[in-house]
Amino acid sequence: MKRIKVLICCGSGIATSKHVAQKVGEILSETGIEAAIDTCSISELSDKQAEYDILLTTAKSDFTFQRHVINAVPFLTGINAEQVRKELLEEIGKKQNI
Amino acid sequence: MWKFQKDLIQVKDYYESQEDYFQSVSMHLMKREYVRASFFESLMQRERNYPTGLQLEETCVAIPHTDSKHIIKEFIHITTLNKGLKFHRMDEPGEEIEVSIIFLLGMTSGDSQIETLSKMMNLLQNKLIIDEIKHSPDTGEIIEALNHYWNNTSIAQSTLF
Repeated sequence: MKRIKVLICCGSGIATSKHVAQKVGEILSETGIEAAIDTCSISELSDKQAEYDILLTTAKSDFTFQRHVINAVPFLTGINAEQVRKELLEEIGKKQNI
Repeated sequence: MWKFQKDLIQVKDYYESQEDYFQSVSMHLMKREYVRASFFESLMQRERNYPTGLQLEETCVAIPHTDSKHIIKEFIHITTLNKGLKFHRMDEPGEEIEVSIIFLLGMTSGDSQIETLSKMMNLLQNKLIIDEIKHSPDTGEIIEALNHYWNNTSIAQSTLF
């Protein structure tokens, strides 16, 4: 199966994205999905996004993407975290079937 | 091992505005050599561009932070407010919320801090401790609650999902 590439960004690229990366790493290892996870700041997102299968962000971006970006703030607050977990796994499922 | 510092916790504070808070806390941290003189401006600008207000289940908090180049030594500074201070939401920057606890994160670069950071972030999802911090009348109680949480929780245990 294809190794999934995940990019997580936040305002600074140093704080919340790293925490979300940890969470996503836990979820993927629980579900046995092989993935490479990277973090970046939101200003780097538009340049980097094309190389990745899955995008998550904790900051709102003005850049309009022609693709799906998952809101990762629930992984910080715990509110609706379960839905975002499902969304993440669904998006990965779609990419794996390509 | 991480230790919370008594002089980095301010209880039942009041600030006129976000700027007022940032100025006061930056000065406090600069005097104690946690941050460089550039910290204040950078923090203000970062918050303006990428706000950090978070609506938790029962409480609103903010987690301001900025580039590691403005930090001399790492810290977590906590302020509880007796009157909510307005912050914009991280996920909905157009929306303002009144926060009652501010966790100011001073991270130097490097992945060694990811454990501290993740533990700190997991704490936000722990209603009990958030409530304890919010209502504590003095610094000592907050330190006690935080140290208890810190020493008795591994990252995995504190994960709710």
